[in-house]
Amino acid sequence: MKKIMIVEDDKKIRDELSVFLVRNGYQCSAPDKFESILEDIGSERPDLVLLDINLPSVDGFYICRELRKQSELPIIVVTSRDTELDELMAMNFGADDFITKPYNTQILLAHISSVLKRASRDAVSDRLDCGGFTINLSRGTIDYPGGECELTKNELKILTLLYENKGAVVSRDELMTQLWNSDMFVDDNTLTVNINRLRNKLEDAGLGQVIETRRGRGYIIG
Amino acid sequence: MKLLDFLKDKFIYLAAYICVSAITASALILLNPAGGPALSLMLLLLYAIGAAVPLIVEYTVKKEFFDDLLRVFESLDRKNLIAEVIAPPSFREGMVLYDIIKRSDKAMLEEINRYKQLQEEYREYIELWVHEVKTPIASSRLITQNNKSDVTESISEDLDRIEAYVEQVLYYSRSSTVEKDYIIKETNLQKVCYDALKKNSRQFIQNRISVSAEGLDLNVYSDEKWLQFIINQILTNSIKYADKPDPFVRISALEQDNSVVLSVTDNGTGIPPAELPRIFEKGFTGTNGRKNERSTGIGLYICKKLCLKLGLGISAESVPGEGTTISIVLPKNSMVDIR
Repeated sequence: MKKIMIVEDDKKIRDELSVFLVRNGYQCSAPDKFESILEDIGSERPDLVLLDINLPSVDGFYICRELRKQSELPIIVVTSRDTELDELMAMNFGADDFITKPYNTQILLAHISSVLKRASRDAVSDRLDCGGFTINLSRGTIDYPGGECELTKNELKILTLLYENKGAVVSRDELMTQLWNSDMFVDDNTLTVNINRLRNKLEDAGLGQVIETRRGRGYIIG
Repeated sequence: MKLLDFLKDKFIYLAAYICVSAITASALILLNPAGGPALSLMLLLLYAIGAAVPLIVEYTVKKEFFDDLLRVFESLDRKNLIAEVIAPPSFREGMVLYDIIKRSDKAMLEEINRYKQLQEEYREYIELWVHEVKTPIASSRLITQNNKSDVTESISEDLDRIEAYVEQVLYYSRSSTVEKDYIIKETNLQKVCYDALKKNSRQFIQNRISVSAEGLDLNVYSDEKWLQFIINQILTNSIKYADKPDPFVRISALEQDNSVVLSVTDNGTGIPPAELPRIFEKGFTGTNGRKNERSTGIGLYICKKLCLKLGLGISAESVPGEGTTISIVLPKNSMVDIR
């Protein structure tokens, strides 16, 4: 499990962000003192630091630069200052990414996972084992005994999302929001078409009815 | 300065002079009838020369100064700097005038600076306030996210609105200052548009508005954040005024020699032709706006001002009942392509 360190002076944000990240499969630590933050980070050894630039006792940019001097530890700067200048500053001080408050939580997650992916040297698994078949994320295909089948970007995303939430109903709005967050601006009709095509492809591959509809609620993979 | 005007000013002096000369001449003739007329004629001539020479000299000096003053004043861009650019005069009234202009300019500059400083302080306060208020918005966002329900979903929508209004305040204050607080750099149009779309994803999805954004992978020269705000405002309007059963918003870009034209087209209410030229005016809400009580007439006004500062063109076309297209002309610095 990846460990994220939240360096943030607002207690409420610290707490809620921890809850949110833990729920999304990360381990979190969020110190409330910042005088010896560099030592804390050194001893905690997180995989990623979410760093607020406006801290009470120390300058966030300073922390950023010092951390960068010591290690390649991924840093995402989170700040309510939103000018190009702030972003350039953060990048110049060695941050890997920059997000402005108040952030869309889904977008925050997307940033975190892409920074982590970029940072981890060991190849991240690009295959998702789904029992009867595997999803090959890098090639955009499903591999099943006896063949493989190509999926479009949208279909791949939908299938992955449903598998990541296996056993739970995912609503159409939720699916659309996630697709939007991946730069695929689908509407209601497109989603219906995507789902139908995906179902047909799965059926043609002899995998049967993988995706079930829960009327008025969404879709589920059991 | 005309000669006649100058002489009019000298009327009393001239009148007195002529009277005195006439009296002197008459007295000479009366006292000495024999040689008097010739003597008085000579004396009058001398008097006339004596009076004309200083007058001519004075006229030349003053004419030079005042003509120069007027010419410079007319050509001056900032009139209040007149005292700084003209040569000080050599005659007494001129010196007094010069001194007064100079002092009044100084007083005015001080006054302007005082207001500039007040405005700057106010702007700094607004910036600070906006950054402060973003923290509770961010934590509220996280709380709603961590406790998903119909209630928090509804609160999330309002948080979207609060955030949009807060952004507007920030950019309003940025748009009206003289300070240059933006950075023009190579910016990918697709990224900016996608970010703006994602920011409004909830609204688009819930209002079942279909979106197409194609051919945007072009680089332009602008401030990414400001541009995103502008596009965001335009999208907000498209969402607000969507009224068809199957609403759409289409973002497209057209590449030209030195520029890229970004167009946002919707099939919403549209704007009556008579109101079209006024939509970028401050506080203009129009017929659509009056139907929609959430309209403040500020959004497009800020867009226009930001565009002016960034050197972008912004224009609108619309057919009432059919939809609106807002176009932004962005520079595509061809110098950099050579690199």
